[in-house]
Amino acid sequence: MRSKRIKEMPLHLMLLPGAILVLIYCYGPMFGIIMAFQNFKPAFGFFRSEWVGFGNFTYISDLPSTFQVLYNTVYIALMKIVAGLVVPIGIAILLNEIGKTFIKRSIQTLIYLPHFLSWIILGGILIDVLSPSSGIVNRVLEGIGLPSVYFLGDNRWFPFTVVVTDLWKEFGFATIVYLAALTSINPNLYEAAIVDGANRWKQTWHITLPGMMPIIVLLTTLSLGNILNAGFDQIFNMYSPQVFESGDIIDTFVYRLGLVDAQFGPATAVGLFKSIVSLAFISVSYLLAYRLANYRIF
Amino acid sequence: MARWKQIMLVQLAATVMLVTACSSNSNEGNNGGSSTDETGKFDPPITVTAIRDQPSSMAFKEGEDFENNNYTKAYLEELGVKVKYNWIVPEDQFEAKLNIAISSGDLPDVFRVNASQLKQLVDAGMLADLTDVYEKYGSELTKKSIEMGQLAKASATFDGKLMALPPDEDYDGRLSFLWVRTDWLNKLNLQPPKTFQELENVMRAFKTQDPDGNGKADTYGIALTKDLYGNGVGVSSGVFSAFHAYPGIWIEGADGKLVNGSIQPEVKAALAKLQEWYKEGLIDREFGVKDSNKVGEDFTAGKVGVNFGALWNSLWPLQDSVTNNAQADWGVWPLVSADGQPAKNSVNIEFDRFTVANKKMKNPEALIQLFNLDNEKLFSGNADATKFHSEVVGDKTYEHFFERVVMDAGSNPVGGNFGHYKKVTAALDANDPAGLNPEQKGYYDKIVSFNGGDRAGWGTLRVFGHDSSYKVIEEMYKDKTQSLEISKFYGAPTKTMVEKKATLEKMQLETFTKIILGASLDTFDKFVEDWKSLGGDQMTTEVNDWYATNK
Repeated sequence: MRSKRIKEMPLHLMLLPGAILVLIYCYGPMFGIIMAFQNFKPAFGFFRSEWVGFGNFTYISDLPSTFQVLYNTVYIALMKIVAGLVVPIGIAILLNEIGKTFIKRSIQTLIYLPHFLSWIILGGILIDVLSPSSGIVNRVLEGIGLPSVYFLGDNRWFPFTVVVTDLWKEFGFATIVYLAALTSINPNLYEAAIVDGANRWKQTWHITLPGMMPIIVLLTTLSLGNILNAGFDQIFNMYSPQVFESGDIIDTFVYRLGLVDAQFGPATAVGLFKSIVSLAFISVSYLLAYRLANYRIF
Repeated sequence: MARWKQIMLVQLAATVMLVTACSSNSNEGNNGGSSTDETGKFDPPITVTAIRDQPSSMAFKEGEDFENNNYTKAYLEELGVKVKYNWIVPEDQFEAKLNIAISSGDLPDVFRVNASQLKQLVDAGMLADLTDVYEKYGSELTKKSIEMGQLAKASATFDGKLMALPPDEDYDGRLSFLWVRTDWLNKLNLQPPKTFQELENVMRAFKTQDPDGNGKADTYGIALTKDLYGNGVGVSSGVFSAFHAYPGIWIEGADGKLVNGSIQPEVKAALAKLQEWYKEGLIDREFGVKDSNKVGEDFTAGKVGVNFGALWNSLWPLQDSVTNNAQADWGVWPLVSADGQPAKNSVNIEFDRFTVANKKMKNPEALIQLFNLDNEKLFSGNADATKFHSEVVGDKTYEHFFERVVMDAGSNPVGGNFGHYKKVTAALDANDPAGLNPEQKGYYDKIVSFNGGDRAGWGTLRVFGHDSSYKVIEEMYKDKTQSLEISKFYGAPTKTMVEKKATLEKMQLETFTKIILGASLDTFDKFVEDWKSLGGDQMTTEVNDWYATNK
């Protein structure tokens, strides 16, 4: 027992820097949560700012736009979570079926590229591409006889535009994770299936998908924590006053509250609320994953 | 996106701090042998701690740094003050770092704060009262530079006590101008618009008569950004002013009380006009998603020839349109009115940079003395521009004025950018740049190079040359309050403003945009109701309480 502990000592020591970083940068700042219950003023600091209890929370819930913002956030985030799971899995399976390595790799790289563009740049590009008067997307729509759509200016279209453009940017990256999971499936299983007379579809259904299941469950579980993250960078660069109604989300709301207006207390209160909801969702989905798929992350 | 705009503003702000060396006595040395305030010298020398932000463009000469340069040497030799910086960060991190320093109580002797930090620190009793030391130690130039901006001084005064050195009060940069493509006017045989009706005719002609001559109907009437007001490019304030509406600022109502400009009936009339223009296609159908950068692309592509914008618009974004098109030229004019009454330019004055002394500082008079010395070295008869303003060595420019301890206090006592305009145009008339300082010479050279065919100098011509935005200021707006509507409220944000202003501003922008896009004009009446009930009435009361004591 003792010798085992000594043998593992270097490993524990190697863990130490990471643990310290987490303590300093993740646990240390949690002290700042106190701001959510204060009328926080930098000049007075944590200790002398006025204590207001749940005042910041009632203040937020009394603001006229809060529930619209909450609805927008959940609506957009849910669509992003579902689309961000289904599409990459589908693409990964399809890519896996391509025999020629060169073509497979090329496609993989191409769909992966948009991931590296920042939303600042894409915001500008998308305004041009989706423009109802000169954008290529609307030219194509008109070409096949459909009316042109003001994707970034119409409240009915804006949330879908956000989801689809986010999907386009990120699905390549997510696909790679699933492709990695596919390589870990034992090829003997496929050989055995072929011997048993299973066609491509049957192989996918009975070998590929179950083989990917642990990673699918893991990523689904983790993504549920994002139920209140609708993507600040993206929306901030794509929204405009005319689509505040459908596009204003918690993060843009907090940005205006905390950074533009320096109302640190209420902004922290919203952040805390977000964290608690995320924690609840992750806990529930973790439990579900354990019960349904018998999968444990920890 | 806002990067360019920022650079423009920083450039302008920097030039405000320039020396206008008097040509008559510019040959005197800076020391002159007559150190006037021997009495004020500290012996033994004291140490004053400070903090700094370093502008990205700032460079030091070999061997120099923040604590070792011409200024620190002069501080030590002439005042017996040794300056020590507790920390120095890049510009964009200053605010956050200062907030941390304030909350941890780890403050230097002298430092710069914004309006809400100033109020907090005053409320917390952490600042030294400067009233007496300012009176006793302030030099003539120092007093002139502070007294020039009475409103700014008032914003630094709490209960009759001067708690900070206030910032510059110059509001030239906040004015809006009418910029029009003159080559298009000439092509279509039109005159520069003097009235709102003429402006509408010009806009219609620019849309329908193919001013760029490419045979396609690809132009529109007037530039507008999704921000509607503010940002200085493609603003709607020219239209609001034409109808005597002043959204966003506090104006005096008929009963002498302050009212918010955003909810006045004149605004509705202006919105109705903008809506009409949108329907007619004079406004870009997609203005609602375009920021000033995107609208800038439209100028460059030659899609639009009318723009309400700030005095620096010729430097950016209009310069690109002139560089890319050999015919393009824009003229600049004052705002026009929709009726017999002259149009007033809406000026939102906000003071946001104050230099303060820590209450724990032993010698708060040192702050005043440091500021005295800065003013003497930059603006007095003994000014030495190469040592204390800027110096060109080879292809590098060292901007020494950044090395001062007190960076943003007071107005330029000898004229600022407007002074440059007067000097540069006089030199152009005389064909002789001899009396110009290095900065002014730079503008002069650019204008001369434009006249010689280099189109890159065009932007400078339209700011500092003849027929420039400063000429419009000279004729229409300089000290002419009848053509200005200056916000009557310039105090620190009130309690309700801090809480509700962002929400109300968002609601306002959303409502105005929707009305321009075609929503019923009754939406405006509902907006006024909501504005009042969601904190606007409370803000109005607080602002009037302030007005009663600061009138």
